[in-house]
Amino acid sequence: MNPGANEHQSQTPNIHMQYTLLFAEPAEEFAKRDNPDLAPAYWGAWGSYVKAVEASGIVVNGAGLQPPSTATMLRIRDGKRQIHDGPYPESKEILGGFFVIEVANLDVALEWAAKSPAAQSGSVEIRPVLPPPPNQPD
Amino acid sequence: MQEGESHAAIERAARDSYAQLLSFVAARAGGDVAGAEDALGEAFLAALRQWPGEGVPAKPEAWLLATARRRLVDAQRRSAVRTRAMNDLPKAFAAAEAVVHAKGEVPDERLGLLFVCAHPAIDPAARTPLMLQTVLGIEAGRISSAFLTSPASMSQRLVRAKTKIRAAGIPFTVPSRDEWPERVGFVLDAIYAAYTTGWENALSELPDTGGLAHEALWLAQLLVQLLPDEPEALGLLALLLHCQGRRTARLDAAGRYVPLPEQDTARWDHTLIAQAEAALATAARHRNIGRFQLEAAIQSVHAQRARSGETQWEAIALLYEALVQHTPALGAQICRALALARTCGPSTGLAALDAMPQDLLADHQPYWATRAQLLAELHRPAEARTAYARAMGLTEDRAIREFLAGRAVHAGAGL
Repeated sequence: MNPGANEHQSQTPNIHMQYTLLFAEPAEEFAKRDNPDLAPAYWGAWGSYVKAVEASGIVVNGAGLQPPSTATMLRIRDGKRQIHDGPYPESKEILGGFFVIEVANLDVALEWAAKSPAAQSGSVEIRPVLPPPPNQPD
Repeated sequence: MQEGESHAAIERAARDSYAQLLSFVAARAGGDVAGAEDALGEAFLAALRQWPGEGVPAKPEAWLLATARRRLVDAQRRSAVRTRAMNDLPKAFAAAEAVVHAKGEVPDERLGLLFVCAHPAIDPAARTPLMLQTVLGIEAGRISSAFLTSPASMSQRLVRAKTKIRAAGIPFTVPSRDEWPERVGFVLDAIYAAYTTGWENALSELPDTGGLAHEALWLAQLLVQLLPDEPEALGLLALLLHCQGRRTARLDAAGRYVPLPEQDTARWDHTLIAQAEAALATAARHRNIGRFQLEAAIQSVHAQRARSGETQWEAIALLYEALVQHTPALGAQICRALALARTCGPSTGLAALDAMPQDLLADHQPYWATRAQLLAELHRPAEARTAYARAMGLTEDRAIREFLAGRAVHAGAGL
């Protein structure tokens, strides 16, 4: 950037940030996936949200996640692998999926988070993605 | 003479342009408020050392920006760590210098900084301190004493908030139209909190200027200047000017607390009150009522006692009714109950207090003080005594404690 070249712009427009949107849903919301009566509405809401996010061209990455009952936990203690069934710790809201998006700033990320079904039923955590660590070539 | 002149020039530069330079630079340096503050702080220190001997430079702002940038670059040369973010700050200073050389000054982007400080993603307890430090350049030590916290925990709170601004990418921009009322509300709340922080705690220390009252007024005036079409900003300014106009009358010559309806109106500052009325009249022209305009209107009715000799409680009760509809805060509900007591009798007022959510009121000093007063007026001395004791136990202020004790004795409910 040439010093002074952007003097009239209030923000540097070419610097975008990446945010991870972590969608947490309450257990009963999560259970709708397996309820034949409620599943269509559940997937319909997520489907239209996912389409809208993808169509905007901000998606870096993203995935929905299978339920916690399918999870396996691993840790290494004293050089030994400890493998457990299921998530730990048990929490009221369950991580149902995530998006990594690239947008101008937190307010734009918040706008996208607010449109997700999880914002209504559970919550969305918006975490900035870690920038490159120090002493790395740009 | 020369030294005094340059000190005055530095102070003027600090007051007029510190926040302008900080907003402009931090917005262009990826939100690096802390880095921009440090560099600007060093430049102001250098000015204090150099200007008295060398004279004030022709373009003081450009000098400060160039000095800040050179020191940054020097410090970075000595540092082993290299990050991309390190280049942003010197570049942002260079951009600001270029603007100053071209136009004579940086554009005023302090509004963006105010919205950053009061962003909903910032810890509410950090918003007012952040505003005082970044917009007014007040030292963390003075802020912590005004907020009755230790300097260490206050500086931790401020550091955490500034880290969040940069890391989370909070934008230095004016919010969109649909978010506007809420976001402006956060800015107004943070400025109001700066005023009320000094209000209760400094009562016994009058005629000390009282905490951060002048700083809060300055911020309210700045907001009106930056948002001339926002009636709630005018409403907040009117409210603060009314409160400030009556500040010294809260204690009599003997240092005793005097409640508002009994204050000697000759001791009010009628210049400030006239300014408050003018601000409220301008706000009313927008025909968009809000919490702060309603609160200012209530204070305006109280102020009219200076001319009419009596308090128009009917008008006050109506305004509190509207305020409670708009913002059902506990304080507003208590004042509404008191206004009802004045218009419909103390039993109506007490019934309104009884109807409030009692679980929230155990530690609420104004509730117990108002309840005690109404019980005393209803000649229920035993209950009044209990309520006066609660109210006295919940105040930090000597003058208010003594006032309550006097009222209790007068009601035959002495402790």
